Amino acid sequence: MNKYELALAVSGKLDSEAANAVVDKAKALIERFGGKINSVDAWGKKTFAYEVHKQRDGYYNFVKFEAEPTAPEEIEKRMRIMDNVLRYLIVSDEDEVQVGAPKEEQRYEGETATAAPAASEAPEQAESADEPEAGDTAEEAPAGETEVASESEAE
Amino acid sequence: MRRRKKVCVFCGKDNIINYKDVTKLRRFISERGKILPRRITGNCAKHQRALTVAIKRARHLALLPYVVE
Repeated sequence: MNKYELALAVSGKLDSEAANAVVDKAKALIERFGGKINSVDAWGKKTFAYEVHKQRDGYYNFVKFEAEPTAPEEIEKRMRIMDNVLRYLIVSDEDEVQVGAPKEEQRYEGETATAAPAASEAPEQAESADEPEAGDTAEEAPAGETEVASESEAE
Repeated sequence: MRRRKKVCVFCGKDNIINYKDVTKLRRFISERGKILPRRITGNCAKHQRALTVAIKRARHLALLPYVVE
């Protein structure tokens, strides 16, 4: 069993009850292929970033489930022809958490290890050097953004 | 003057890149909706790659625009 997440955008033309019915249909579909639903996250009606099938908004739902690796393909195949489903996406739920995580743990462990035996000076310096830089980048990013935007506009 | 070296934002504490987190992803697209390159965001290759995938997923779901006109 692998963990997956299904993202579903239901047509905004429906009322919330009818939209829920569509989501229930999708959930039944998951269960039909041996999936086990862990949680459902309903965002409610949300405006799209662009028009989809001449519609401006839709109901977003995110269903986390566990299933065999063959299931997502089958579910997608049937989701494709479901009515009032404007957008769907099934992704593995694990890869998002993994990015960069193990490396970070190692680094923090190393820091605390050096901090304990050595004098307090060294780790403090390291921290103070780290922190302002992190703050700078956060401020710097939008500045760089506008700069490049204006440059590309000029071209 | 030499520019200060930028540090990847995700190599800090918030290393979770998710296609649902639209507010976080918006910081890495231009006003036109394009994905900002690494030389501007300062992200490391690993996280930029993850970010690109997340933005493209969000675009497909109409959470982010493909293009702003």
